[in-house]
Amino acid sequence: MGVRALGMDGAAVLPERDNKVPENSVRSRDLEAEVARLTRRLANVERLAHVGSWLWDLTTNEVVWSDELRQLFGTDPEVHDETFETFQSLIHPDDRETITTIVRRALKTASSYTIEHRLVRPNGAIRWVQARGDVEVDEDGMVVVMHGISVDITERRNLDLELRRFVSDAAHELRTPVTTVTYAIGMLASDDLPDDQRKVVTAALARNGERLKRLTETLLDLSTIEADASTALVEQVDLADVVERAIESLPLHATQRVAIDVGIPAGLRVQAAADDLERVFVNLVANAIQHGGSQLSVIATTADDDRVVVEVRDDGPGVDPEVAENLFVPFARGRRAGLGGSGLGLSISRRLLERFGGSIDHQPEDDGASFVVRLEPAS
Amino acid sequence: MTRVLVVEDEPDIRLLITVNLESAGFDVLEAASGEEGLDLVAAADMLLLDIRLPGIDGFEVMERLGRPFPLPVIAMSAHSSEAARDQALALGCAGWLQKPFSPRGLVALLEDLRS
Repeated sequence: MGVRALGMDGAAVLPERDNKVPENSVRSRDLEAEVARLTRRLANVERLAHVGSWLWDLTTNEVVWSDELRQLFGTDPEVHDETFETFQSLIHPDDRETITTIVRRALKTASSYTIEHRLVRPNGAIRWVQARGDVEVDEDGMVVVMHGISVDITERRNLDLELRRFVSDAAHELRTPVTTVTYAIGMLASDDLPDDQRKVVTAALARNGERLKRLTETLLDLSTIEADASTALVEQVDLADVVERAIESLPLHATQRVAIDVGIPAGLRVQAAADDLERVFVNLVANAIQHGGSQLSVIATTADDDRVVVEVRDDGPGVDPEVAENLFVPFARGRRAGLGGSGLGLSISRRLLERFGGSIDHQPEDDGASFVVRLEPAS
Repeated sequence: MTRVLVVEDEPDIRLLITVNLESAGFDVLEAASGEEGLDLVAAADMLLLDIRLPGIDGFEVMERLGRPFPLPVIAMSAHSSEAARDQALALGCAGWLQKPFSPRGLVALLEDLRS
């Protein structure tokens, strides 16, 4: 064990005898191992954090990219001939000028920068990255080294966009009943509104108040699903029971208007969170009734891959081809939905099912509408 | 009597506008879509047109009306976009109503345009 001490200048003073032993080769081997170990560690950190780094030595004009940066930029991991121009050429053309200006300014003023920009990989894929850069200066204040990191933020950007779209759609969805309510109140405030018209206006006011209530409740529900994404209680549930409960929970005035044919083998069990699965069937059956079906069927079969397939079908006018491809997008409602729907039923159903390995799809039919729910069988 | 064609896909908004305009002394024709509206437009003196409609939207309806518009067109929208408003006015709309708007305001605007 060597004795360690600090010299006047704060540097470690090594014990005398160490200097006498001619072990330079051994030491440089230790050093090499240490460098290799640290390099590996850095590469692992970059890989796990999805952070790529680079260093630009301005005195030699040499540019070094980390493996993770090559991964991020989608360049050949075996080719190490990057230059600042390589970097520039992979920046999205619309962002190139901004980046060049920012890097130039950082060099000129010896300052750091942070920017979000797009890059175009050699295979054509566009990714969003956040890039940060910084400089090192010599004693004269001249920049000698510039280094930086880039992080892939494509997923976050997409989520941001999706969220913004959702909020804007939700606001618009709220605005329609708000417009009606405001308008109705304006009419009721007038003294010369005849009684029969007053009744019509009051009824419209009540309907839209109800619609606002439903919509806010559904939005709250949706936020709970997102928050509880990992806490769904998955158990073995009896499918026929769940479907029966779903139908019973619908208002009688709705279910009495239609004939519902349920064909589910007795004792067929699936893996699901019972309450969530019930909600999915409530949504599907209510949708079918609301969209004008008079003859409904809920039929379960077991597919070749052992998954349980439940088809909910009606003889209504079917799904408007205009909205068919956006059916599971929040608020992308069919024009026949009228006042009743929140525009969120199908997107909520899909999210609920995905929590326990289920799925839901619309199956195009010549007549009526058909939705297919696939579930994991009980093990 | 001035006949107003109301093109609005939300049934309750359409209903309230109709009741309101009728009690203010207008004759009202109703349409739930742009296509329906175009079929009725020849019988109307004024057009109250929602911008966001299923199928063809309000701008497409204006496009198909030809220019200059054969009747005064008042656009309504729930989107507070200045660009949409400017576009509507540039196309020749006689008015722009930002939802929510008041029943009194609508009647005042139509009476102003009628005279």
